Amino acid sequence: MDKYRVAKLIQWAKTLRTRKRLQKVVYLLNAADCPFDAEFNLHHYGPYSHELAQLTDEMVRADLLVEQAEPNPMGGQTYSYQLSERAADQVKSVEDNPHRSEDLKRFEEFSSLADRLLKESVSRLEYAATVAYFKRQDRSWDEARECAAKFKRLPSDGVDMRDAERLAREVMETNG
Amino acid sequence: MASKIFRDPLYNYIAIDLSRDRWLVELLNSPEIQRLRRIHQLGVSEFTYPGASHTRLAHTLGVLHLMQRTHERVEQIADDESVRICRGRLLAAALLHDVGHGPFSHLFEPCLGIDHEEWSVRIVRGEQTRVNQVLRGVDPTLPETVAQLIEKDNHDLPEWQRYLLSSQLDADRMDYLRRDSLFTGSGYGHFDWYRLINTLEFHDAGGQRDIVWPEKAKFAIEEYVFARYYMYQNVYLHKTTRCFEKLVEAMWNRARRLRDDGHEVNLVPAIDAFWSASEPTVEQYLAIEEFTVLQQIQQWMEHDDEPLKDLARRFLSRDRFAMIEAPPLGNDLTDGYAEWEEALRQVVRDGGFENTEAYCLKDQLKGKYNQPYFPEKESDEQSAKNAIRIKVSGETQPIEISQLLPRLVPITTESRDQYRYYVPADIREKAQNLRDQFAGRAGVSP
Repeated sequence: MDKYRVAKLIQWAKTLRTRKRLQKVVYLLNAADCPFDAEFNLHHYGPYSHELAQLTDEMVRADLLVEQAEPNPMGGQTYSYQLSERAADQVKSVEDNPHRSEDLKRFEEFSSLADRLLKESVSRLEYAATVAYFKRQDRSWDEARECAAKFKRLPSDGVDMRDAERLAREVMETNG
Repeated sequence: MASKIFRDPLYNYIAIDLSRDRWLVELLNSPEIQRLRRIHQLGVSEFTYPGASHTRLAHTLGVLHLMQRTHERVEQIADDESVRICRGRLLAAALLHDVGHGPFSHLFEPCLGIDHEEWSVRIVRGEQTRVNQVLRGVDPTLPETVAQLIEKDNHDLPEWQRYLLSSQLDADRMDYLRRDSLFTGSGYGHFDWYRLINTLEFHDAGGQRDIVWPEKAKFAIEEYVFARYYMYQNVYLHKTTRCFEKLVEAMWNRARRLRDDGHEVNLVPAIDAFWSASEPTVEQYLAIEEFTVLQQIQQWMEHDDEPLKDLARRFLSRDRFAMIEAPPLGNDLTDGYAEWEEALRQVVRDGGFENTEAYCLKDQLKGKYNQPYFPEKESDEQSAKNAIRIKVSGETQPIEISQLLPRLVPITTESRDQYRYYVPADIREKAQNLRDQFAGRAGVSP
């Protein structure tokens, strides 16, 4: 996974609120075949990439991202991210390079999907990413929704899971 | 009450109650688990620490012991049907979680293109294995539930049961940190495991059980986090050990490439059968032992291909490469490693080592087996899988340990990818000078 793609996603968001949103959006973009190249495992709150979490913190220390922490109502901290000026200049120079890789050009085609996902609520992203996770294990959509519902302890025919399946389908049937 | 007793240097005695758990002794006596006696727990760490010759079997027994104690604790805090029913599968999984390891543990995974967890699951599910027969004899559903506990992406069982075996603070890690510390003689892996097990608690996370600790366990957890950090820095990522790991990987990649190009590489029968099979069987996999790969490496010392022959010789005679740290180039969006690596390869070629795949070895220190504790910091994303958390009175949510003890922050946020390179010792000075030039260009004093 490279820093440019994380930086670009955060630039598209302007301010990306919550690490959880970052995780689920990257997972869903991956599920849409966006060249993000991160390894995810299913955690308590849906697919989670240790590598992405580490890279984000590394970029904060390298002054590529600006991180802000705020207390959340549950007593913990919530983090939001913006691109630093230094990183914005570097994004521009990558994009001004006519010889940049086809992979990077293809990544940019996902901006509208990313934009749409970044506006979703975190819980909707979490449920949709969980359904997509089970779908990617060679299951039918019904099976994927049922597995996700069992995992999240929610009714598989309830509004949340039906809605999550809808979003996951929309994402996985999109290709750029 | 009769028990089967094992003498163990960490726990003194490990006991299996024969009236209740005789089947565990049968499982332990299966050829698949007995094979773990012939697998070094720490791969080639004994090239660095001569005492580190302990085996996967000793570790497996240690994990069984800790899982017995863990299950007793879980019964104290939640004595319900779901806890009672999982005892057998947890103890079996403790004995079987590493049964799929290949020669020298993690070392041969890239060489043979395998993942030990996948082979553990295949051995448990494989109806021809003795392991499977013993489990079926206890309960026909046991092979499947044990496989579900071990299998990486399986979420059929409640997550808390998996966390007891695999999370940020689990029976597996508690045993290997202390055992590896003892046998290497490094002395870093001390922590109060008894307190950690006997204070763990359940936390209700949206209807699911998660694992947390009370405030009184915080210093035992602190010790554990430091132990883990020191062990990674000093043992698991030791430059000499990693050098020989990369050297072996390069040697096997070279053999594979020669074979793919149609050259004869004089494979020993077990490796030939494994590499020739489109889908190797469990039997073919289990036939590859440490003595098999050592015999193979010995045979390659007589091979016509110079790099293959030389890497085999270097491994068997412990003739190590020199380690060169990567220059600090990683602070930009696109790093400058490609240019540095090409320059380093040129130094290697100029030094008379034309084959840079064999003589310029890159080691990227990342991946699931190379990480000290690095927690997720956002509470909405935390579980036992990515954070060790403490229940604090007056707080509704548990708090991640480094937020409670800020002195842990410096060692739990050091996450930058680290790159190292290994080159023949003859060109160490030139490679080091090159590295210093690149560091100077990046504005960092060498």
